[in-house]
Amino acid sequence: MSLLLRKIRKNRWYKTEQLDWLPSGELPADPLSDLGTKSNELSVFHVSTDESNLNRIVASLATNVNQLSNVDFALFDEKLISELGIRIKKSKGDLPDEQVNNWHSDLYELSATKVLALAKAINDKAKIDRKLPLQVLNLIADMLISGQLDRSRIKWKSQDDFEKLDKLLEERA
Amino acid sequence: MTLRDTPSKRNIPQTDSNAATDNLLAENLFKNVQSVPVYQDIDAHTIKIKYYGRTAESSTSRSAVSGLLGKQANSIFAGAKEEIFEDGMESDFSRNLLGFIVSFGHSAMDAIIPIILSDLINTEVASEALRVIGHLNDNTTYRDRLWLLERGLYSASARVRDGATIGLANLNDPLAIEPLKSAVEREPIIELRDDMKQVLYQLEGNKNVITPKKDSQK
Repeated sequence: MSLLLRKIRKNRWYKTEQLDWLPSGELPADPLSDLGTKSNELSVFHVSTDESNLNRIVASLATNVNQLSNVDFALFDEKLISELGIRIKKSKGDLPDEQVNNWHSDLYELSATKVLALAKAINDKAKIDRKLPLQVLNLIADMLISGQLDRSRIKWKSQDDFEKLDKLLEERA
Repeated sequence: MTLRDTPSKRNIPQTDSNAATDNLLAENLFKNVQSVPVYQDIDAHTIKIKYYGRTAESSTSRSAVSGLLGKQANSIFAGAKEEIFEDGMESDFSRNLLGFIVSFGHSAMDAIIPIILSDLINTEVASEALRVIGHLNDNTTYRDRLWLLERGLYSASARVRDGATIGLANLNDPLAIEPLKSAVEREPIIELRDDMKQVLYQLEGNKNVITPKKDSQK
C-alpha cells in the first residue's frame, strides 16, 4: 500500500476555520470543486510511504499547467479508498515526466455518494500540504538538472516563468 | 478583524510612468475595448472621451473614463462568479483581469481595488484576483499591486487572505515581511498561519537575492 496524492486548492479545506452556518460534522461544498470527475473518474498519483517520489510528482504537476504556481495537494493512505469501496485502476498519466506517468491511477465508477465520502475522508484523514511557487521552481530545476524532466514538455505560456527558471538554473550551474 | 480597521489611504507617489499612463488612458481605452467583447458596450462613449482626453484634459472626461473603467472592472468580476479556478491554470477571469491591468495601469488598479476589498464580492473570485495580481509582471502597477496584496492580508475572508499570501509569495518582495509578520500574529486559522510563515521564511531568505523585476522608481 502506498499513499495517494490528489491535487487540490488548500484554502478550500481549512479544518480550523469556523463557519457559523455549517452544521457540526458537515463538510462545506467548496472542497467538492477539487473532486470534479470526468467520466466518473478521478486522477490520483501513487506516492511511496517514505514520500521519496513526492517532489518529483509535484514538479511534474507544476509543469503541466499554464503558469508557474503553488501546488497544493492532499496525501492520504491508499487503504482509505478500499475502505470506502472505491475502485482504483492503473492508468498512464499525461505529465512531462514519464516515470511520474507510471505512478498514475484513476479512481473509477464513482457515484456522487462515494465522492462525498471521499471528500469527508480527505478532510478528516489526509495530510494537506502546499509547495510555494519558489519551492516548485526549485523542484523543477532539480528535475531538469537530473534529466528527469523534459523541458520541451513544460506547458507554461508565460516567458517570464521560463526566465525565472533559466535564472535559477544559471545560479545552480 | 475587518478591513475597516486598516489604514485606508494609499500613499503611492506619482511617477513618470504614472503620468504617462494617465495621458494615454483615453487612447488606450479606445484601442483596447474594440478587441474585447466584454467592453463593447462602451464603444460609443469612448470616442467622445478620446476627443476630450486629447484636447481639453477636463476633469469631466477623467471622471467619465474612471466611471467606464469601473463598469468594465465590475463586469470582469461579475462574470467570474461561475468559474472554478485551479492553481496554475488560466481562466477567462484571469485573462480579462490581466488584460485590463496591463492596458489601463494605475487607473485599472483604482477601479479594481475597491471591488476586491469590498465585502460584497465572491471570496473565491477575490482570492483568485490576488493570486493573478501577484503573478503579473508589470512595472507600472507594481506598487499598487504590492499595496493591495498587503491590504488583502486584513480581509475578513480566510480565502482572500490566502490569495494575498500567494500573491506576495509570487511578488517575492522583502517589503512585505513586516505586513506578513503582523498577519501571522493575527491569523486564527492554523493552516493559513503556517502558509504565511512559509512565505515569510521565503521572503526573509531572499533579502539579498531579490530576482523579480519591479518598479525601478520605488
